[in-house]
Amino acid sequence: MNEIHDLAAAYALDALDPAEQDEFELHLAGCADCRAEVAELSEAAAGLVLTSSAPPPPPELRAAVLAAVVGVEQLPPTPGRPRRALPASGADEAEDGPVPVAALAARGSGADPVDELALRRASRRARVLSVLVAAVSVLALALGGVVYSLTRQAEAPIAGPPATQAPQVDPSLLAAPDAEILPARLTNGARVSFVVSKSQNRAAFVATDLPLPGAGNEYHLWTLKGDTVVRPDSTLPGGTNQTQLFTGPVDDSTALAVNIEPAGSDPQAPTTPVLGAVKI
Amino acid sequence: MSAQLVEMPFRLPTTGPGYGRRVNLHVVGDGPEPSGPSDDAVAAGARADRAQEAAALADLLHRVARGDSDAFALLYDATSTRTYGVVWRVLRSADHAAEVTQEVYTEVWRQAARFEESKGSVTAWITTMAHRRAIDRVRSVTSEVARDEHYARAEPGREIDHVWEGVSERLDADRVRKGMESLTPIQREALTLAYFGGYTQSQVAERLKVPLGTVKTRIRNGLISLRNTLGVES
Repeated sequence: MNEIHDLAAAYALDALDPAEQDEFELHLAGCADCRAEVAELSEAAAGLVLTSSAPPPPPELRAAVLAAVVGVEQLPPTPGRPRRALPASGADEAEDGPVPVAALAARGSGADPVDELALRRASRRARVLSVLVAAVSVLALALGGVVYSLTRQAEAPIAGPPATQAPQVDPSLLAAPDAEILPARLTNGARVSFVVSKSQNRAAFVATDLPLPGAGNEYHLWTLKGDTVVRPDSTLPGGTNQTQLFTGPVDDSTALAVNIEPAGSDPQAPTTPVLGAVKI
Repeated sequence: MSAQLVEMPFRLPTTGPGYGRRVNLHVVGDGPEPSGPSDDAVAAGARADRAQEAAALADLLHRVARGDSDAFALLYDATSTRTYGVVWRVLRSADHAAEVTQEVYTEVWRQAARFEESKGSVTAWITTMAHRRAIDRVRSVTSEVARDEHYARAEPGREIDHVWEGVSERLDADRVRKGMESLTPIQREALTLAYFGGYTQSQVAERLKVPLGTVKTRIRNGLISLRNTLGVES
């Protein structure tokens, strides 16, 4: 029996001494059998928590987690080849797959060092991803605008991960346990988002590229209950990087909507079709 | 004011079903619980549930990899109880557990595109990541002595049953429990010390005052036996 193969279980439990762990990770990179075994044993280890008692996550953690990733860049898929073993712990880990990625790397790929399907899949994903990353970055910029306009109301910012350089969305709005970002596609093609916290009774409208509404017109925001207007809310001119807080409350509404009205008008119900809406 | 909207090309929501609402994945597609089935049928049902859940989670993670923040929220809702549970169980501190859990999900977001369904389940991927980070944290912030006391305090009377929401999670919990019961006490203790106590094999050997080789064998046999009980397919 080769002793190093026997370390798979302890590795899956994160119970190797540092020197052993380094040694085993080096070995893993070249041993498909061990990678497969680590993958299986990791599934078993992940079941261990089911036998134990632990409190549920605190409700406010959800908003903090969701807020923490806003603007955080996503890594491209790794090509389908055996991954480099990882450092035992610490700061470098963020730049690389964590151990599970390495640990789970082998199942199904056998000893074949090049997984062509994975490569094709990876490159296809990379293409889609680059487009989406661009879109997400633009959205992040727009959300940065929300932060800017709400700075006065901002309280203690959420402790984000150290790697985050991207703008943070208004912490006090997004940190609400019930804060949600609700995307919508307007009938004129614009992609917009509504940021809503019912508990804070606030909402914001965000769009990176809102087509100009035509001479003499402007965008109007509405709060609705079902398809009935609760009240007209803010207006905005359209253009790039539009952010607009709802001035009124939202806790008496079930939906938010946007349409186009003549500039300076103050209709109590939309006089043109709603371009887009989200349920809240 | 309750004026009706004039003209109604007005559909809610315009972004498709599911957006912005919390969905409990565990109840999706579970179907009726069988009444009085054989063990085999239960096991088959649990496998089917697991497969279905695993596919749903993998689908969510693929959406997360494309920057879909709604999918990310749903993924959090579906996995955070277990993730936080693992981290809390290792760290025994709500503050540390919340911090580490947040770090874990940030990594999930960053690395979503690197997950490969063929190589393991989303649950194991996230749980392994969470455990690794919790262990790193506990080893860096806690002295072993403190951990000893912590562990000793926390262990007695520990089995307040957690309410696991998903049918297959409950079945899995039963199976893990049965699997644990079938281990020898010392195998069980070695596994628990290593996984939740954050001890390395040699530290476990010291604590249990048995030779390192024995601990290695017990940990290895214990986890392999658990794997077999859970029917992890390769």
